[in-house]
Amino acid sequence: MRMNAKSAIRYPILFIVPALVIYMIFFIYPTLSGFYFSFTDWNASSTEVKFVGVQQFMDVVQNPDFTLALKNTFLFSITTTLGKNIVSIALAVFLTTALLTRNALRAVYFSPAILNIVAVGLIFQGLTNPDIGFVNHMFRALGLDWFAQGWISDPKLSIHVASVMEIWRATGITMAIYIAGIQNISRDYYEAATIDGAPAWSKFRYITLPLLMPAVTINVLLSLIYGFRMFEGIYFLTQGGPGTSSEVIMTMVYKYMGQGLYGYSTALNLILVVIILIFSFPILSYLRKKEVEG
Amino acid sequence: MKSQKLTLRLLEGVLWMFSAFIFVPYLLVLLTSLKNAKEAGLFTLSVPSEILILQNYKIVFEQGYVIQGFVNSMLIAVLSLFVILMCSALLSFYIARVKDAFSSFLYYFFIMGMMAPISLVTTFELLKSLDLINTRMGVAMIFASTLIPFATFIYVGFVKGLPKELDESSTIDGCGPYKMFFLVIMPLLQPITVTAGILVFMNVWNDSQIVLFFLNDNAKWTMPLNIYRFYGYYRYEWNYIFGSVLLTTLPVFLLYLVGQRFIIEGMTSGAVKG
Amino acid sequence: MGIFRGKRGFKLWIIMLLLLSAACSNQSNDHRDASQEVILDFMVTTENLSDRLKKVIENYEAATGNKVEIQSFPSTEYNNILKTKMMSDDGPDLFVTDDIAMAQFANPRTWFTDLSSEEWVTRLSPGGKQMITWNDGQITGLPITNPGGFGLMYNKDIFEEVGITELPTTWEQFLDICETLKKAGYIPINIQLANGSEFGTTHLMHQLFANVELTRQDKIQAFYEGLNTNQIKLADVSEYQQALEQMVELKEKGYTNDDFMSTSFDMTQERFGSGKVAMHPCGDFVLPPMLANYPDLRVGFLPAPFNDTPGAAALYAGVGISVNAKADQKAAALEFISFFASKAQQEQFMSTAPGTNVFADVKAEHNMISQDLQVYIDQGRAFMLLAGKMEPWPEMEARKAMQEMMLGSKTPLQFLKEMDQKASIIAKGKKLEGW
Repeated sequence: MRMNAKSAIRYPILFIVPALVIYMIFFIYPTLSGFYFSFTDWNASSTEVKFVGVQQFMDVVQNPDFTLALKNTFLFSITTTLGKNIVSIALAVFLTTALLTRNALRAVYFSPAILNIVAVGLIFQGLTNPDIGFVNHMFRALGLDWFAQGWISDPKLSIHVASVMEIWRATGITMAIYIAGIQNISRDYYEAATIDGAPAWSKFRYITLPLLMPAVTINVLLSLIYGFRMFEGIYFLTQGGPGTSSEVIMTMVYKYMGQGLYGYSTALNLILVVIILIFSFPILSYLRKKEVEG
Repeated sequence: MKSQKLTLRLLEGVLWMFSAFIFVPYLLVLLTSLKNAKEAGLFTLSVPSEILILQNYKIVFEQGYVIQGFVNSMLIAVLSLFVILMCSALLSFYIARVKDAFSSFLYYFFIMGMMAPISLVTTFELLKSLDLINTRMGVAMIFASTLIPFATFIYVGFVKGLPKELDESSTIDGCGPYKMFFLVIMPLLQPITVTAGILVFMNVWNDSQIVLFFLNDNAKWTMPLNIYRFYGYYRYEWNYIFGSVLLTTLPVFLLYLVGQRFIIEGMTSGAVKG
Repeated sequence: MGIFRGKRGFKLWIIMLLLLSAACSNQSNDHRDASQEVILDFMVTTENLSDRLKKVIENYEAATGNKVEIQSFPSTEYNNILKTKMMSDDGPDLFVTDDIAMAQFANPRTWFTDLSSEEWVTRLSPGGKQMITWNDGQITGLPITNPGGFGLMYNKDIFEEVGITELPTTWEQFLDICETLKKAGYIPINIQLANGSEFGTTHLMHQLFANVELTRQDKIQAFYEGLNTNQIKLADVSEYQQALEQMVELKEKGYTNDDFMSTSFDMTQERFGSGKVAMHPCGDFVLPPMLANYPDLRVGFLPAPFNDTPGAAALYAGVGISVNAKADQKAAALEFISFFASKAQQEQFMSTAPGTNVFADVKAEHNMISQDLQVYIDQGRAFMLLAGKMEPWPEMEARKAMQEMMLGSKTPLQFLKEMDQKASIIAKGKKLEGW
C-alpha cells in the first residue's frame, strides 16, 4: 500500500492490477515476443524456428518496395498531420465565435469521425473512380477536364488521395480537442486585447496560438503516431496499389504476414515502432517538461 | 458592431458551404443504397430511377445478417466497454493521486501503448494458448489492452481536477480506499465516463481488423465485417455495400447525436490538461 | 448514471458484473459436444460458394444424415483467416484453395491429406489426373470450379462481321487482326487491371509464358528445376521477356482500352457482353456469369500467338476442395469427397456449368471455351501455368506489378527483375535449396 506522505489516505496498489494484468498479457507480451521473432526465420511452413539475427533486417531493407513504403509512410503521416491540424485549428477558431448554428456546425464537421474506416475507404473508392466517380464527374460537368485525374489508379497520386481521405475523416477529432482548448482560454485576455484595439489576427497569433500549445503538442503527436501506424484506410482504398505506389510499412507488414513470412513481417513492424519512438520521444519529453512546470 | 455581425454571418455561410464536402459523400451513400445495381455503379448524385428501398434493404438485412451483426457488435462493445472503463478508472485514479516515480513511470508505460500497432500473429498465438480464439472474451481482452491507454489518457486529466479534500473527508468518515473509490469517486467520474465511454464504444464498434482476425466464425461477425459479404474478386455490389454501410453507421450515429455534447465537454476537462 | 450512487450503487455494480460474466461465459466454440451428429466444417470463399456446390452439399446431407457447416469468407481475406485457423489447429475439415496446382506452393503441404489412394482416383482421365496431381505425386483436391485454360476469349459474331475467317497463327497476323478490329470501331482487346481485378491480365501473361514449353521441349524439366533452385533467373528467360513485350506492344499500338486501370471484372462483363470489345484474356470461369446476362453471346477461344508460332495455352486445375490433414472428422470428410466424386454427383454438378471434367466416365458437355481448348489439349499445346511449376513464383506481386508495366512505369525486364527479387524473399522464407 502506498501511503501518501501528507495524510493517511491509502491508495492501494491493487487499483492498478486489473489494467496492468490485461495490458501486460494481451499487449506487452505479444508485442515483445513479436520483436523477438523478428530476429528469426519464423514462417508458416517452418517446423523449427531459427535465429537469424540482424540479417533479417538487412533483407527487409533491401526489399525493392521498402524505400518507397518508408517514403510513403512519412509522406502520409506528415501530410495528414499538417492537414488535420491546420484545418482543425481554423475550424476551431471559427466555431468558437458567436455563430447562430455553431453546435450544428460542430456536429457536422465532427461527423466523419464516427464512420467505420472500411466504409470511408469504400466511399472514397466510389468518389475517386477515374471514369465514373463523382469527383471526376463533377469536374467534367464544370468543364474542368484537366482536373479529372486518375486519382487512385494513378501511381503518382494514390498515396495523396489516401492522405486526403484521412484528413477528411479525422479532422473533426482534432477540431474537438482544439475547441476544448480554446474554450479553456480565459475571456479576459481577449477582452483586454479588444480594449487595446487589437485586430482579430493578432488575437489569434498572440493569445490563442500560444495558449493552445499544449493542445497542439498533443494533437501533433497523436496525428503523427496515427499516421505512421495507418493500415486499414490505405488498404481498403488502394490495397497498396496501383502496383506498389501507395504501400506503407503497415501494408507491407500485412502482405508478408499473408504470405506466411511471420519473422519478416514482425521485423517490419519493429522498424515502424522504432521510427515512431524516435519521432515521439522529443515531443513526449517536451510534454513532460511542460507538465513539470505546470 | 454591424460589420462584425455581417462578418459572422458571412463566416457562417462559408462554413455551411464547405460542409458540402461532408454532406456529398453521405448523400452518395444514401442515394446509392436506394438504386438498382446498374445505377449504383455509376456513382452519381442523381435521384434513383426506381427507389428500391424495400428491395435493397431486405437483401442487405438477409444476406448481410444485419440483426446478427448488430447483436454481436453490441455484445462485444458492451463487454469491452465495461472492462476498459473499470480498469482505466481504477488505474487513472491511482496515477492521478499518487505522485511518485513509479506512478509516473506507469503513466508513460501505458501511454507508450498507443505507439505500437498490435502485433497480429503473436497476439493470435497468445489467444490460442489461452484457448480464447474465436471467443468474445478474447476479443474484448484485445480491445481492452489497446484502449485502456487511451481511456486512461482521458481519465487522468479529469481526476486531477477532483479535489483531494474529497478523498480526505471520506477517509475521515471511515471509508476504506475501495469504498472511497466506488461510492464517492466513481459517481463524480460520471461525465468523463460518458465521454470516454462514447469514444471507446465508437472505436470498438467500428473496428474491422481485430474482429476479422480473432473471430473467425461467420456467425460471430460484427456489423462492419458484414459489409464484406457484398464485395469480392468478381463483383462489387455497391448498392448493397452502401446499404450495409448506412445500417452499420446508424447505431453509432444515434449514440453520437445523443452524446456529442459530452464528447466535447469531456475533451475540455481531459485531453487538454494532459 | 445517478443510480450508481452510494451503497446501492456499489451493489448495482456487482450485479452488473455478475450478469455480464454470466452472459459471456458460454463462449464455447466447441460445437461437437453433441456427439451423435457428425458435423463437417467446410470453409469456402464467398465467390466460389456456387449454387451447384450448395446442391452437392445438400445431397450429401440428405444421403448420409451428416451436417455440413459452411463458413464463407471473401477471397481477399480468406487466405489469412485459413492460415490463422490452421496455425491454431482449429482448421476446418474441408477447405478450398485458389487453384489445386498452385496450392502445393501457396500453402504448407502439411495442411493436406493425400487422396491419391482413394478409390475414385482410378476413374480419373489421364489428362484430368495430370491436372490435379502435384509435382510430387500427391492428389490433394477435387475441382469445384471447372479446370480450364488461359487464353483469349473472342466474340465470334464480331469476328465474322469484320471478316476474320482464319485464326492468327503468328503474332504479326494477330496484330493485323487487331488493326482490322480497331478500324471497324471495336476495342480489339480488353485489359482489366483495376485494383483487385488484375488477374484479368496476368492470365494473358501466363498463357504467353506457357510457350516456354514449346520452345524448350524436352529440356523443360531441367528448366523448371533451374528456376526452382535459383540457377535460372526469370529476367534471363528470353521467352518471358518476349511475352511481356508483346503485351506492352498491344497497348502501345492502341489495341486496348484506355481506361484499363479502372476496368474491373464486372465492367469487363458489360463490355464484352454488349459487344464493345472483341477479345478478353481469361479462363472459362468467366462464362457462367456472362452468359447469364448475355445469353446470345457466341464465344471462341484462342491462345495469343507467340512470335511465329500459333502459341500455347496455359492450363489451370481450378479451385479445389481439400481435406485437412488434421481434420477432426477426417473419415466423414473423405466420405464427402468420395460422394462428390461419384459419377452421379459429378454429372449433376457439370449439368449447370458445362466444361472440362477430370473424370473419364463422366459425361460432361463442353462450354464454348472448353470446346476450343480441348483441341489444343489434344494437339499437345496446353501446359500447366508457371504458378503451378515454380515454387517461389510471386503471383500476387505479379498482379500488382502488371499494373505498373502496362502503365509504362516499368519495362518488361524490370518487371521480371522485380519478380526475381520477390521470389527470392519467398524462397528464402521457405528455405528452398539454392537460395
